[in-house]
Amino acid sequence: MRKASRRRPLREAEAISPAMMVLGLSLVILFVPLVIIILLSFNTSPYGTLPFQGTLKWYAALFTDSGLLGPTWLSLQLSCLVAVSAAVLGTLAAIWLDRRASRIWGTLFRVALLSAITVPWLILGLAMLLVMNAIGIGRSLFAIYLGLLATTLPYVVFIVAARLHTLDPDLDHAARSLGAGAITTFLRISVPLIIPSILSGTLISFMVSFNNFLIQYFLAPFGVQTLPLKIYTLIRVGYLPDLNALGTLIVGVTCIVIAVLHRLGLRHAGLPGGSTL
Amino acid sequence: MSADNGLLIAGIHKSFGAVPVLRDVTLAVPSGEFHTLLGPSGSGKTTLLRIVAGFTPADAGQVTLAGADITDTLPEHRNIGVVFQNYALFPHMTVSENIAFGLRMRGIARPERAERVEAVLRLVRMTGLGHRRPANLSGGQQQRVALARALVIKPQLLLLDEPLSALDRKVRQEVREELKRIQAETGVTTVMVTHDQEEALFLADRVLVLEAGAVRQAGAPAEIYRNPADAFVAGFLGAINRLDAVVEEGGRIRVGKQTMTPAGELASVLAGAGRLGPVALAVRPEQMTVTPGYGQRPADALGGWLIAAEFGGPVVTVRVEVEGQALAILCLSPDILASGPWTPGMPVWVRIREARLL
Repeated sequence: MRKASRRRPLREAEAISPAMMVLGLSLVILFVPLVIIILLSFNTSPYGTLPFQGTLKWYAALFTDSGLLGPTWLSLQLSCLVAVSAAVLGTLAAIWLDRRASRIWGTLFRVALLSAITVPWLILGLAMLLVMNAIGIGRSLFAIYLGLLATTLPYVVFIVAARLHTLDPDLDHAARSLGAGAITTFLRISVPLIIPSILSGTLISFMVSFNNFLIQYFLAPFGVQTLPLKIYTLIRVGYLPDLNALGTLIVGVTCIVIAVLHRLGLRHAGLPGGSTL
Repeated sequence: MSADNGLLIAGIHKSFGAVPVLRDVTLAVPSGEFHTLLGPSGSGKTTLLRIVAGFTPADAGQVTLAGADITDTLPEHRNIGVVFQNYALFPHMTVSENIAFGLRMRGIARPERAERVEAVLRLVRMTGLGHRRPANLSGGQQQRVALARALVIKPQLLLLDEPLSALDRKVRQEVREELKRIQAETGVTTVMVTHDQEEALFLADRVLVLEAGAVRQAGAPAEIYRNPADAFVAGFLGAINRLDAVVEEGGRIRVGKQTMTPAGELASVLAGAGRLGPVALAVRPEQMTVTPGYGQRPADALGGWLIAAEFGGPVVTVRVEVEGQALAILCLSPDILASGPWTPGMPVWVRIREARLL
């Protein structure tokens, strides 16, 4: 018995090794471009040519006359607003889904949310534009907000509902029998237990809306440029390494945020960068 | 029997959809007593407990606690302590915080809270573990914390939902005794739901046997064990043998081709029943004795054959066949070992000390 169990992990490791190679290759493809961008952001040459000469002038340019800061700030504000809205509405929807929804309505709601994830954003964006025009909102910042909210909501709902589903309903009963009302029970028992999942859903919403080029492209009014739209314009006309500097900063900030969340013990909340991914 | 300070449940009906779960259940638990609701799964016992706690509304009927009608009272206003099958300890709180939760909800100030938490930890013998998280406790310890949390609010009623079923056998016996001691010490009126007859008989002042949503029998443990109302209760409370026999004139019993004149309890049972003709005898395994069957058959015994003697430590289950009917007889192992050797196929005498006519 003992001998067999000692040998098993070894054999599994051997079986996995081709998969490990594929995994390694994917990680290389993922990280090499990031490393190149980081390196180029410190290189003097505006055309990415060698020899490598260290400089910080692109960072200086980024904060003085690049035209990138405005779109970045707009994207940050928009994504924060979307993420917070998605967190609040998504949590409420998840509670409804888990506690109150009838079987039919619950299933319909799940299917609707799933379609928002599975339908390609290209089609979703086009459809949204048609709807926005039809109801008179048209291309506007508010339209972008609504569009991004619709695409991010499912992530929060599914993550939070999955967590709620694992909570023992007797926890609520216990709190009620000990004298806590329904609202107190929710705030003192349910919320602390689902907060990591809410945060995790918020973070994913933020990233999805920050990155979502297609929805923003279809719904942005003329003259309004979010960061993805600005980058798209820049790479069509040629860009300077100040964009690399911005990319480096974004990667850096992302790493710090995830590290902090990790330290806060949100490792098991289904967080990107957490143990479940 | 006065129940003005205890729990009164009257005429409770409950259905889930078209399926009736409880039909006209009525019971009274006088203040300070320990009652158990005993029944197989699906008998409605947990639903009844949830109705009393206020988690599920009843379709009809009334629940009265300490003289007040609480049928429509919200659970947070009932002052009932509940211990759940899986304990339902709050995982994000320490043991002390779990126990203090009910006191905080009652607006009790911090110094008194700390004092009462300490006292109840002492009661359940968990002193010094207040800072732990539930996840870092053993099953038995979690059980004690759940009990402490339910008791610290000084409830008028303590409800226990299969409190011991998640524990392994040895811990279960230990906690069972603790539970009895704590209930006696606090004097809290207690209703426990269980499917384990041994637990019910050991703990309760009074046992209520539920089946298919209706009360089959209620009474003191020894009373319902010895005088089960019907075959279901008899079988559910413990192993029982069924022996088909014919009662004849003069207090004699015929089983197959053998006739015997029973002595002791069984004789008075037969005389009391005053029935003649075919009957079914319900005989518990410990209500019979068995001896090696050599020589002339005594008048108060039936002859049979040994099928097997199963050694079980303190007791031995002796399986015999009497006139084509299989019987299991429970004996103390020193008695059996002293009168051996026992080999399958050997003749035996079986004496019936006590039985019930069905």
